[in-house]
Amino acid sequence: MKPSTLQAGTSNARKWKRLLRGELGLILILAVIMVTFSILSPYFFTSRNLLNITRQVSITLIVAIGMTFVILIGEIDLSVGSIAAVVGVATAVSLKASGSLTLALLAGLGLGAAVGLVNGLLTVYGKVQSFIVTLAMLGIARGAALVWTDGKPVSRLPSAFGTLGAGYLGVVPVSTIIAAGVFVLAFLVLNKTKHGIYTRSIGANREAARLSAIAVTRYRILAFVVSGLMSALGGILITSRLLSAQPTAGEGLELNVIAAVILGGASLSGGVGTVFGTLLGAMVIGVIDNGMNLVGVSSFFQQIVKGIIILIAVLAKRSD
Amino acid sequence: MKKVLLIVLLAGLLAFSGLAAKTIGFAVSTLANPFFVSMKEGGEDKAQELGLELIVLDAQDSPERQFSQVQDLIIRNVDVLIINPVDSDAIVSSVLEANAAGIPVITVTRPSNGGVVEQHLDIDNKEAGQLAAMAMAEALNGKGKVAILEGIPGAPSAADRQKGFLDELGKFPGIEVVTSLTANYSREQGANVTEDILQGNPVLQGIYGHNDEMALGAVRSAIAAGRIDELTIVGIDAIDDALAAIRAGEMYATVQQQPFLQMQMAVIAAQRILNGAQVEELVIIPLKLITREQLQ
Repeated sequence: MKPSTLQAGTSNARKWKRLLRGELGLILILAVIMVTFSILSPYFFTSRNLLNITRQVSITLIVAIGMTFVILIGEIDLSVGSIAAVVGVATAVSLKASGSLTLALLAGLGLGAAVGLVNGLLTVYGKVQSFIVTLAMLGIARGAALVWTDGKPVSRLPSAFGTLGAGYLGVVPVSTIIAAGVFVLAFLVLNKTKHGIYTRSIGANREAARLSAIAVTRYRILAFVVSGLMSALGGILITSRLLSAQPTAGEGLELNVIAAVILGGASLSGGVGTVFGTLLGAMVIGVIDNGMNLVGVSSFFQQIVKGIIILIAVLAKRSD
Repeated sequence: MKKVLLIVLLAGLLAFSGLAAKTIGFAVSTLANPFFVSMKEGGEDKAQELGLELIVLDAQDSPERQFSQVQDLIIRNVDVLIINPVDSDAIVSSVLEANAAGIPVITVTRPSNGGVVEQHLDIDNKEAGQLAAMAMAEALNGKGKVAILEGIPGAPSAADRQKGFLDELGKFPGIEVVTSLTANYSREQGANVTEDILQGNPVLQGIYGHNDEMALGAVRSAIAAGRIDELTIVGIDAIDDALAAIRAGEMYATVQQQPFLQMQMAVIAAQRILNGAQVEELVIIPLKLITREQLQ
């Protein structure tokens, strides 16, 4: 254990410097994009719209934070969007059946954690690549949501449930507050606890971590549980926002989420990445979507422009 | 340097953002379907004629994305919102927010199940199904086996097109519906599901798609299976590809519901609302059955 902590210690300072520089670059890019949209649309840089953006980004961010744990440890989770859908259905169904919000939330979060646990167990003990395990789960969870609902949305939920996703506390959207809480928690876990250090070390070099007597198996499984839990929270927010559980919710969510994490400076090969970077990555994507809508960029162009801006951001960050 | 590039890139987009004039926001369910593209073109055509700006945002069939887009249109302070909801229940929270912001809402093709909507423009989907059934019964001389490709499960349009078709078909005891499966209004899925249907039903005379996209998927698979000649394929929507297929004898009929006209009328209604005039709550766009005869 000693040698690896030592090694992690010396390389940490250098790593921090590099990461900080990478993130400064991303902050600059975000600033440039925001200034540009402010010039192009008078509606962009208003407190109302900025709060609106934080709400729009909140779901991507929450799920992306879960994904950061998985990517840091050197794995991938493609099932996040499907978990969000099946959890949304589970939450809506239990809410209608029991009338208890607490019970419904517990059911939803529990299901998400359970699916994440299955992903983790199959990856670690089944020794199957997480890409394949979670690809299979993407289909299974989506199918389960469709079978459960017969493809029809579960609607007419009590309007009080809408507060989570669409409500405000003062002028601040409730989902923004939830996302901020998740962010702070994840930041503390990854930077101030052994869990964070171990997760990173395992991602950087699994064999070395194992030799340093780190409980590699446990942390790898936990990463998937965290991702399942965050996807569940995302699914609950989507359902609350629409006051309707859509079995097709979160389709393609995994792509936006992975893009946010990678844009944030994480490496798909593990060991590198921060939640702050993920926050910036999610913001860049969210701001581009929002800004183009405000400017009124033709919807076919939007996808091209978004792709180009993401490429430019990644390239600019590389060369910094 | 790269930042300069970015600015140049985005400044280029300025060209797409008109200024002045009254603005209409159009939140459309998906532009991956020619039916809605035709709707968008109708809107653009009428908006230009009336000197209005039309901002079109495509939800790509995702209710979450549509929620955000409507949000953005509200922040953008559009004068009227025309919404073609992805889902009639999920759109309610968006309509409520538009109501709260004092922006009048018009819905097209799919209604909102809540909130205040100034005008809803629709077709009578039951009538569309009924017309499709009449065409099918005529082509089959009232006798044969028919398969159905259903639209998105839970979508009111799909439920109505199914009911209208089955009700009318009830008048022809010689026609049997052997299977009815969903292909989610998609051509690709329509082709896949039809492949399976053809495998499972060696004898089949007709396929009815709740929309042309699925019917055209069925055409592809029927050709691939060498059974196009024994099949009468009927769809709804009268998209260009379907008209071409009817001319080519691959499809028998479609029902024209005139999306171009529908959206033109929605923009006219928006203009009326802007002028402070009253508009009707419900407008039904007339339908037309199209077979080869009409196209000659």
